Amino acid sequence: MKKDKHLKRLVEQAVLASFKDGKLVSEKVQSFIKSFKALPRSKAIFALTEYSKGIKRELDMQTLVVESTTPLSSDEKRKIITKMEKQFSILNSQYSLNPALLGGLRVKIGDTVYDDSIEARINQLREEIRG
Amino acid sequence: MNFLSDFGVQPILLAAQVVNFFILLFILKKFLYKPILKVLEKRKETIAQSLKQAQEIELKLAKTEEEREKVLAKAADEARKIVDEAIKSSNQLALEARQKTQADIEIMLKKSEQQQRLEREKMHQEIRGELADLVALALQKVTGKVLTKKDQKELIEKSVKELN
Repeated sequence: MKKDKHLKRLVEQAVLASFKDGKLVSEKVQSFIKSFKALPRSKAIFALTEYSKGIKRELDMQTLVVESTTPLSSDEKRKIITKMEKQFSILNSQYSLNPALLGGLRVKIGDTVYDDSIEARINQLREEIRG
Repeated sequence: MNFLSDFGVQPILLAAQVVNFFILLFILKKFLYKPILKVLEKRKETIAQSLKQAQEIELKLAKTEEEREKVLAKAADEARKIVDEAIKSSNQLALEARQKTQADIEIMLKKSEQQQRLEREKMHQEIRGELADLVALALQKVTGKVLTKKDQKELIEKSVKELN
């Protein structure tokens, strides 16, 4: 258990070291993967699994996900990215349609969610009535 | 002397009878009267002693009776005290039982009130929850039908402007 904790800490440091200026460096990723493969089998599987989870987590933290009820224009997309880049580092952006929102937008990056949809307001109203 | 012979009294006989009489008296006195008197005296003493003993027994009896009366009176007094104590204790117990029952009833009433209050609150909460769900459902249905594409666009533009 102690060794797994130590290895986990190493993997977390490797994940952070795989990014430069918020961008993923593929050479570093390859280098770390090679190092982890060299470990004994069970440790290698553990390290690679944790590393891939960590990379995905970091990428998600930099992936902007926008949901709307109607397709967004390029101008709207640009405005959204410009505003969000003031606070977050954005590597990718995804846009999808979600009629369940009923109206408005939902913007998500990492653990942060800006929900300005009608559905969110209805839910808020529901909770306020519940008391 | 003729006087005595006229009556048939013979002096020598008379003297002899007197002597006989005194001899008889002496003999009777010595051998009869003294023992009999002794016996009578002894009997008299015995009777006197018996009477005395009887008197003493009577006195003792009276004394014993007096003591018996005293003891009975004391026992009756003690018994009365015990009965009074028992009545007092039972009254006290009855009072305490009544007070405890009253306290228990008050506690039960308070608990019942509290429970009713909790149930009322729970019911209100449930009603509010159902009302909230109904309102949300109604709004969702209405919003879906009422909002046009233009409205949707305007909402999105507003959200983008307010994004911060």
